[in-house]
Amino acid sequence: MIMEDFKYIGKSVPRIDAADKASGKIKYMSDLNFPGMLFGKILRAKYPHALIKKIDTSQAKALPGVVAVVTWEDVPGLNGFGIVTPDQPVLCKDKVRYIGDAVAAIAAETKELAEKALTLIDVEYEPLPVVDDPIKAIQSDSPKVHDDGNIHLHTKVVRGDVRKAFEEADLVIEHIYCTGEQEHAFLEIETGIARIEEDDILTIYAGSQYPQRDQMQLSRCLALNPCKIRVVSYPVGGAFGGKDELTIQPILGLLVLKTKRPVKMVMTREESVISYWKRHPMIMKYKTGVKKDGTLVANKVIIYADTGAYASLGGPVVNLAIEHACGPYKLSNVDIEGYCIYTNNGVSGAFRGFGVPETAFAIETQMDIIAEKLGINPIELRKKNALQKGDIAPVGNKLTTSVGTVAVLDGISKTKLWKEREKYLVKNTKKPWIKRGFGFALTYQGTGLGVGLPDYGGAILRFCENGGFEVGVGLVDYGQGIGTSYAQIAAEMMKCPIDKIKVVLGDTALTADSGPTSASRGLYLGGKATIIAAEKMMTVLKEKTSEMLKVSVDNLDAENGYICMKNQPEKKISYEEIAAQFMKETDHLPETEGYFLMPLADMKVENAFGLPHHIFAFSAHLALVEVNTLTGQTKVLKGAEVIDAGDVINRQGLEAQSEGGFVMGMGYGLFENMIIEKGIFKTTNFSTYIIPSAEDIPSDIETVTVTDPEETGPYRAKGVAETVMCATAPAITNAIYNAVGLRIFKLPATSELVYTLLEKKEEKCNESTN
Amino acid sequence: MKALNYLRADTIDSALQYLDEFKQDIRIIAGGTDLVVRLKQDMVKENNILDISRIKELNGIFRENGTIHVLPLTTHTDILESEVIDKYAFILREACATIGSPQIRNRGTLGGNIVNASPAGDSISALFVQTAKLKLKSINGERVVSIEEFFTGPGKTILKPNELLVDIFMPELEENETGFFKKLGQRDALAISVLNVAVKMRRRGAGTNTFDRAVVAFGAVAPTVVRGRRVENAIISSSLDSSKQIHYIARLAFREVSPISDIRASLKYRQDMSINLLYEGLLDLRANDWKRKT
Amino acid sequence: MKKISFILNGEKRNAYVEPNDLLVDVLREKLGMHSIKYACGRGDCGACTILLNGKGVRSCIILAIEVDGQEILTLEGLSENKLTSLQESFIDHSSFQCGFCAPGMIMSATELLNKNPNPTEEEVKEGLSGNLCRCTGYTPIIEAVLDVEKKDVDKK
Repeated sequence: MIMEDFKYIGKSVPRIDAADKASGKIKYMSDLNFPGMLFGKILRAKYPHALIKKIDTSQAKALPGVVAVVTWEDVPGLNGFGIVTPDQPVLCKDKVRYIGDAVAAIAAETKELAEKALTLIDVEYEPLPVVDDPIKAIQSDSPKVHDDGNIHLHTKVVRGDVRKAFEEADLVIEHIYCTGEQEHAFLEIETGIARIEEDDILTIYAGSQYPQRDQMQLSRCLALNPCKIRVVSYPVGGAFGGKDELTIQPILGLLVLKTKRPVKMVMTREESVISYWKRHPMIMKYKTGVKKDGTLVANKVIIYADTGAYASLGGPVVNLAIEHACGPYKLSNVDIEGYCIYTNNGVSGAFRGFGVPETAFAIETQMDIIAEKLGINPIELRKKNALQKGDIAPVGNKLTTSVGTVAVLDGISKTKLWKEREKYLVKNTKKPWIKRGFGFALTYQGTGLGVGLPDYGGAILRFCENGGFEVGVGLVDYGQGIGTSYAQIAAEMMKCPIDKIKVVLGDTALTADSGPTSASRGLYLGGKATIIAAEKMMTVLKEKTSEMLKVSVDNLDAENGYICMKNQPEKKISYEEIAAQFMKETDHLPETEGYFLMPLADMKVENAFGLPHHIFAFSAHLALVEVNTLTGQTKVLKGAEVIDAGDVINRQGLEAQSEGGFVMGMGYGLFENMIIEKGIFKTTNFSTYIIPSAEDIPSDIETVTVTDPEETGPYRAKGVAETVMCATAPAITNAIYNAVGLRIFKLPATSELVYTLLEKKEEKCNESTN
Repeated sequence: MKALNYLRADTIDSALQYLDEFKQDIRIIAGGTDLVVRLKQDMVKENNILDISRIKELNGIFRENGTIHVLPLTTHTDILESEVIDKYAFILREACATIGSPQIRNRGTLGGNIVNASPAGDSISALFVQTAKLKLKSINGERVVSIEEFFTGPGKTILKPNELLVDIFMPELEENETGFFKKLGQRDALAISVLNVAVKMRRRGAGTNTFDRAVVAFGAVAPTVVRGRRVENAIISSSLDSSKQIHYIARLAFREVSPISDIRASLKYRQDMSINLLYEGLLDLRANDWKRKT
Repeated sequence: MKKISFILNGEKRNAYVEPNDLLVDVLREKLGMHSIKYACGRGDCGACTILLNGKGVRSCIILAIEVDGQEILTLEGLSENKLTSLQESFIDHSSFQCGFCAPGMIMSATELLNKNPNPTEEEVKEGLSGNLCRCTGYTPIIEAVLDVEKKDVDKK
């Protein structure tokens, strides 16, 4: 195989940051302290929906040790932020729209003083009726969260003729699916420190997924030239989409500008939960028509997504949900509609999967139901409808890049779990109330931002005196391991040992803008840009060597840290010597830049911003579960993922994504349930919002890769960070059905939900036999 | 967190002096796993904190005349590692194994779990069925109360402000006594009880399914842990021969509990689970010839 | 302010604390032990786990004043001279993604291996059940602990 020729690509290279993480030496933004720093605190709204009548900060200002108290009046620029629509105030002026809305902020000499000062700010409110039900919110008589109504976005994509197709269908399946509000639960809470550094540059150290966009948004809010703002965001203790939008940064910047002193802000977990982004809860109405032979003929879907108080990325989430609403299946009659709805239920935004885990749950349950009703093997049903290269996707784009649907479905039979499932599915004779079941689900995920959005990767490669290279990419490694992949790529391209590569990420001063670290695009775009920068650097090195050796560039090759002559490999100059030569001649070392534009689909979907995508990663998720029918508890005993990632850059990294994605998907499927009542969060800590612990995970999570190489990708790879969690929940709920004959239409499938449904089912059985 | 005055006692006597001196305005800290969380939430009204964690006389596990003493500063980890407990108070052991996480068990104490008086306190249900007694001491003297009398409501006990819990003791489990502690949480580890049940039964003899003594307690289904007396009577007065019979008995649990709905579970689910958890526990026990789970 | 003294990573240290100062804050902010992470503040997640007298505890729910005269080990102390086999094993297994849970995980695993040098998979899961990780799905962490050569884990 082609992989054999590579030294680093395709190998399980240990993470380049592993030693620092193992020793505890790595410093996160929350570990930074600066001399003379103040402590910042934010006053949040008292009500989920209210008019602000008066804000009196005089008492807080008078408290000794308080250095600044800021309100909307102190925001020098636009008092609004938001990736797509800047509708969220930095500090609220006349209205609060959710319980985490920021009303004022304090910088004080100590944390305790800042906390005390918060209690001294007097805000007079006039509470408004709380909008907490997205379906009611779109009725014309609903109270309005924003002046122009509660519908932030309405997208409708229609192809073919669904009405006619439903008439011709042999079977029509209709269900309503509901999914829960998932909390990112990254371990490092939104925290940051900022100060004014050399040349009057406001430098913000805070966890983020796109420092260059933060810089732009901050410049708008703070009325500062962007070149006077530096954003540093590496390393980050987890993000998963939750740090894509701004969080504390604008207030942090404001306090520094106001006080001219360093300011640190540390959120509590509870404040983080009520204030920042979540996965959109969705209500999805599905109607799917199919022929007797299993051919899908029509799909009508309406999605209601609760985006909470502000837009952030709610619109794009709904659009991505629409694009993926039919699963990776051929469907030429579709009518898919989505509403992104404002309520007073916190704020929803980007979260790993970005609308796909929600719709995957719906469509993969539909497929399982159809397979059963028609008596068709569920893998065969999916295969029969599988999108393949050259096919037209449901929203109308022709798939011309790699499509791994069939490869992934075929890969299911290669897993140990599939091969041995019969063995595991034996009846528990000792405890007949415990029942086992097997299930699977298929999914896919578009890479990149889609049509209509600037989508590019950028990398800077700096030649270093030790003959090594520094790669500077604006993307952020918040755990995925892209830094290690860039090191592999740079080492492979530059023909040098990987320990000679240093990777710098997420710093507006040191890295090239490479777009957001989201949409499974980090490896793909940052990798491509690194390759281009490296190609240029190789030319620079060869040209210098050709001068030094007085031979033609064409006669030169690179090998293990040397530029050597093609036919006389012993005649060579080390990179270190080349660096020395540059220093001697010019007193500085060369750097190159690489930029790569994301290839796009050759059409766009009308009135559906960002659609379609062009490159997709595919995966199948398998689960073996055990359901306790006395309590409703579901335990996932074994899991597996079959992934089409193109060619794999780092096997260990891919497995890590797969295992982590599976467990996050399992949490989404079984436990994770953010409870908000009338706009008030009820589950604000890890004792009430339950994420999986080490004892909850399956005994085995297998990762099988099937390769459909993506010719446009870096070393033919694609990104998988999202697809690895998107279909775990439906694999589990399909397994629950297999175990106890119960269809789950609502996530999470908590013990209580499963128990309650089982009980109802039993009642129904009793009724029909009586 | 508000400002505190920190006091430390290294003997019972000095602790009692402090308690008497500061009367209503003193709160004891031992492991702090619960108290510090409350302090951070500004849920503690007292301003004086008395650290008793170094009082050696309050730490230890020992047997004396058929009675096991577990002194209040004994941590859950100590309980799990004690052979004496494993042999003579294994229901308590099973309960402590489900509390929090290893790190919470390293720090949290049995006395703390009792005095906090959470209706969901896992060790409490086990202590109910092991018919534990508590010795409370003040500078004026001491008294002994049964664990059942100790609680008056959620977070409320009969402990007077100047009193200190100084001993927890219970009869050793006999050879023919069996039982279990079972907990339902929202996940396997690190979970607060949605509900728990503890059972102790004395078998009439090998080969029989009859019992001449039974104690059953439920946690997280009422303002305090509650005894299931109807269930106990039914166990004693019948023979647990079939799963049908066991289910019939377990259903009586319904009459013993008065749960509420909260964010962890609904009233109805808790009601049903008090039956099913008991049912499952008894079935498991029977499948193991009424021997404790190992 | 009250002066307390304790052994931190083998060295006697003093600190002036208020009775309401949390141990996590004193160790991180006053004594520079930044390996300790703050992530939930109520003992739910384990990111702030340290060894107190050899036992894993949550430094976010301990008052600093309580540890007067006691002995504390943090990840800094664990790896003072060189990485332990456990840490090496974490590196070999890439048991990190974001790495924020790692210090607490490693301290909990250290205690587990000190007590039980040959744990089963179930025992490892149980031993780490109090340390939440959102990235890895725990698998590479559990594997790392199972693979440690037991010989020098009890080295402090």
